[in-house]
Amino acid sequence: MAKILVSVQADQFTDDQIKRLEAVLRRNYAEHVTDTKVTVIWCVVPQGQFYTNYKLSRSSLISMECEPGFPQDRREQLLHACGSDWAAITGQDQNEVMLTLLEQELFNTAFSSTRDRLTAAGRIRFLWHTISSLVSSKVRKGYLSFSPNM
Amino acid sequence: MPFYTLACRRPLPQNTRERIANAVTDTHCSVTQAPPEFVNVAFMDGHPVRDGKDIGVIGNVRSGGNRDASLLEKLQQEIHRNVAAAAEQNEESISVRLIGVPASWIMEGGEILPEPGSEDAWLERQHGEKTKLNG
Repeated sequence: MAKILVSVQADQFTDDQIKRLEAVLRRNYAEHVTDTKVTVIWCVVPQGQFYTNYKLSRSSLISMECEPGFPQDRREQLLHACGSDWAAITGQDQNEVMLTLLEQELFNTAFSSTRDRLTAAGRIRFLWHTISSLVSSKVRKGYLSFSPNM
Repeated sequence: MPFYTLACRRPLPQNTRERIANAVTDTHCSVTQAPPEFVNVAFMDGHPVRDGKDIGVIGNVRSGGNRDASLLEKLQQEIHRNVAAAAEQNEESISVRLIGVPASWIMEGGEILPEPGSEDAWLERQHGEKTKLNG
């Protein structure tokens, strides 16, 4: 199973936009990387907590994973396709969209780094917070999302 | 990229967040010579950071190019010192970890990011596109 982690700002996009964005990420991933099962997780950052270039940010960060040695030309095709589709749905400038396709080991290092910097009890709390948020979001909104605040 | 996340034990006042975001951006740019357009800083509240720290910083930064081990070590030390100063806390209450990401695995502004130290042509193209769009 592959993971896609997306960080966006609270109230930046409607639920409908998020579902359409998730659909194009899944479609492009299946077309350019692999048609394995994909889990898309939305990290929704509360307003006032995200800065880019000294200012409160309107940027979106999309991080995807792939097998080691994934061909660079296919990586670029995927990132271009996702970037274009993302901009078409959101109207964002491409400068406000950062996309990465990381090999699994690095993806997992980055993915788990948030948890690894916590105390043992903090990791359990973070896991509980994340899982309960994801389940609640899936039921209420139809996609997996959580706030990074605990 | 870079993308710095700061896990904070308690929510920080907005002006402190702003001061820290500015310090991280200033530090990253002065040490690496990267342009500030690349620098993202996010805060996360309510995180019990290990070893009794109040703030745990993780920086996902481009690796390769002109960034050797000594430059990354200097970046880590400077981020550590300047985040502590901006947060008005002891350096002992802050932890910093950097994770290197190859530039060719990242796209921003519709283009694969340049190797560290080779940003001029990329920025010229980016600013040229902006001028065309605005013109």
